[in-house]
Amino acid sequence: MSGWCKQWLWGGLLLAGTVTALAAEPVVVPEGNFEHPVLLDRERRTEWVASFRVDARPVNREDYAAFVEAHPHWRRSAVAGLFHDGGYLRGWSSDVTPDGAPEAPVVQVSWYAARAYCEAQGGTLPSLVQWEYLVDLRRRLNGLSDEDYANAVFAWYGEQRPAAFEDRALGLSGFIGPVNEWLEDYQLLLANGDRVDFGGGSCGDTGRLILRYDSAHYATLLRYQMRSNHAPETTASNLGFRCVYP
Amino acid sequence: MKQMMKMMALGASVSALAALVGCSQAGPMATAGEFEIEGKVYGMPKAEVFREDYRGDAVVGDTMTASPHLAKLDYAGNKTHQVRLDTLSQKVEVAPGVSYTAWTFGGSVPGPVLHVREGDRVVFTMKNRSDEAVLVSEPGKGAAPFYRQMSDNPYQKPEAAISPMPHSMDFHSGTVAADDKWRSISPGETVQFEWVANYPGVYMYHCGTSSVLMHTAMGQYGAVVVSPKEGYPTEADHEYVITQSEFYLQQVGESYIYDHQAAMANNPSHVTFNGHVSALMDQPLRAKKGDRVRLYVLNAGPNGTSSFHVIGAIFDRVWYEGNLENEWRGMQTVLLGASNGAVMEFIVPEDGLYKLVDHEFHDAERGAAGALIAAPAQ
Ligand SMILES: [Cu+2]
Repeated sequence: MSGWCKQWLWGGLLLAGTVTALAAEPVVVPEGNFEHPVLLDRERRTEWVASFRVDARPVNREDYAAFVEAHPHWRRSAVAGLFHDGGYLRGWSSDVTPDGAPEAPVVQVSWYAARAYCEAQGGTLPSLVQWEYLVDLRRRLNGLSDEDYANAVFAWYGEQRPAAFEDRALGLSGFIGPVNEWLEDYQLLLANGDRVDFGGGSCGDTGRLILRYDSAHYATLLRYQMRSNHAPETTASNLGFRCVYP
Repeated sequence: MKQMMKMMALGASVSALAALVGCSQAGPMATAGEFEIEGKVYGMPKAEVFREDYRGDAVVGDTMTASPHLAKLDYAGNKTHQVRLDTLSQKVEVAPGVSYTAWTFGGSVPGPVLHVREGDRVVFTMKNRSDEAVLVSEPGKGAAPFYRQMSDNPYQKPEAAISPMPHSMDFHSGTVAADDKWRSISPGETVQFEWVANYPGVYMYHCGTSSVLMHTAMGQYGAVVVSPKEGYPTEADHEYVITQSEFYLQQVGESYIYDHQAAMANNPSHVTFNGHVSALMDQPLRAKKGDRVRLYVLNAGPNGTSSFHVIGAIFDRVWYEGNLENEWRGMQTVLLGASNGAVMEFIVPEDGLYKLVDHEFHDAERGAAGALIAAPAQ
């Protein structure tokens, strides 16, 4: 982190008298079982997820500015065209000056860029299983009903209203709002657009691939399908990321 | 099948056609892969996806109108239409006090009505602007008539909103490979492709991005009217477009959001003509006694059927799906499944009030009702 950036961050913390902006210490996630809500390979599957550490919040604009300062080839003016679709950090007023609030999640970053950032921090992007396991774990630990969860997802996709529930158990923020987040293997299973088979793609209804045809599973499917519409070079104003560490 | 395929270099056949009808407009442009069967053109060029810094009108095209209006086709023969219809998030009202953040084409639900003639070509451009706050009220110069009609009658009280999602466009009026033309684009991307209006009719367009039930229930649909090459055999005094659709909304806190359980159970909160329970009550259709009224009716669903009926009238002629060859006479009610359309005509028998209803009355009770008032011209 660059000097001015660090100063700003610490200054902000002192002024606000809070430590919520301090994402330096990743959250330790306990191991556990994950039941796949979407039958990506047509198999019903439950798998064991080992303990890992994860950023408490999505990477923010301040963090990302420090990254591009330290890694000039990821600056907007220098980044290889291969690694983005033309919209990379589009709103930034200069190579190292983010748009919007510094503490807001960074967006308009491609999968390539997000990976490079995490690598520079000694981490990786979360796997789909790790990320969805966290969503599920937070639901269980915070006693969120299926209905409340589904409504939070639908409300967010409709209104861009940050999901109103607080994670008291793990202290993680984000996930469902304010942005969608890149995953390491976001397209691994729903490869090639939303095609699992010929039933996907345009006008495809892959609803048959969820474990139960209820609202909560449909809400989750929506997220899986949205991811599958991205290419690794996609940059979107609603797409950020966070990192995980062993 | 094979022997029916009459493939030919299209350039020749199209220019011959243009010469035949004395069309001064630019006719459809043929590209290398195109071929023709029974006068219908297939084999469109590949869609293109790109980024553009476009901040202009979300609806561009001189035959794009707001329901229930239908643009007059003021040209002879065939034409290539340059049409833009951007996808935007927009807060719209569907019933008094019931507004939700809709996913829209062009900022209204249903989206604008596109009118073309059988054989016309449409070069279509759509930017996914779901991540921009775009308000459809201040049209630029040369904007579609849609804008004036929307500002004259802002019955959905539209407000700009942001709700970034991948979206796509699926024109039932086009005959193309869907995995190419109807592909999904992310916020900030633009897709461009063409199609030829091979068949006359009243067609649905909608977003086909999975989960397609939610995308259509959120408001992404509208009507394309393709008039037969030679027109209908009757002379209509009034032409109106009506799109029936269902909304599945539930109140959560202060706002209304999509209710998936209700959508799965086909239990709509509201069923509307032209996107608002009062759209055709507050602004009834108008006619005079003795007039022939032509209705272009589309049932956009996404789930329900419509038993469309005009109380006090009998449909003198009905062209199911708008095709001249599908003519029915003397119909009391026309059954439209989800995504079916029909052109219906009736003679206004005398001055008075004629209710338009979905005769599946549980849907009429949820808003699928409107009015036509027959009165002497003022
Ligand atoms: Cu859509």
